[in-house]
Amino acid sequence: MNQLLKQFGTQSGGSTAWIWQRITGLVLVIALFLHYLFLHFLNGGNVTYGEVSGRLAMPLWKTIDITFLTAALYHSVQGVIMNIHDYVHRAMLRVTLVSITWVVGLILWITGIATVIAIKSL
Amino acid sequence: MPSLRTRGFTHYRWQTGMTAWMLHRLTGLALVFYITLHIWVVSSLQLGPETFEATMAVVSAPLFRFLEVGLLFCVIYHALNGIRLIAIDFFGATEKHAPLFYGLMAVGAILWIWGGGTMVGHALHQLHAGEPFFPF
Repeated sequence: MNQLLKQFGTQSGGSTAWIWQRITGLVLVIALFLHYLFLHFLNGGNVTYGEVSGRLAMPLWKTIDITFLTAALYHSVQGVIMNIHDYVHRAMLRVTLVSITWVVGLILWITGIATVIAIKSL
Repeated sequence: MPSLRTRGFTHYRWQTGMTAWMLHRLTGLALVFYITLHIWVVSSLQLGPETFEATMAVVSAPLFRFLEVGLLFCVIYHALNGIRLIAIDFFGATEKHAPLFYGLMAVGAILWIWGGGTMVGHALHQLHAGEPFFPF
């Protein structure tokens, strides 16, 4: 059992997580540029319900925001897990913390998706 | 041989690469903390215009403008150093990693002073108009 726990989550050797951390990172650099441009620069820094809901009424913006959200949360969850792997050496505790990280990430993802989909334009 | 663990924090070698890596971790963890709050705040969109605008009024207070200067630092640093990591991993920039770091940091400093200056300007304007520093 303890041997199983020690090897938990290590089957891929981390190479899948490594390459996706770079792909999502690149997506985030582009998405953040658009985010700052449209939400903090072109509108003079005023974020209102009317403005946000008008933008999110467009399927293209829904798609951009869901991509942004998914990339950001994957990158965040994976980043936290990297820290856990580096500093938590007790197998049981490490498995618990990694699991909690995935669950919290999933809850945030569902919250974000619900917001993007449910918003009604004025 | 002394155990690595007992040597603790002093074991870190404060050269460019190690410092860049350490800052990448710290800013990354700060950004994870922020994105959690951000998703929660923005989810108030689901509760309609009045609730959303009321929430936005709280998080637009001078206190948060100043905190956002710190947030901007984390975002700019993490993004630019991330570009450096990709340059190292995929475009053979390993030997030039240090000059690349300082070059990107120069770009980052300009962006931070520009954006952060705008944020501080907003906050001072609000304080001058009589808005309280703390929204609660």
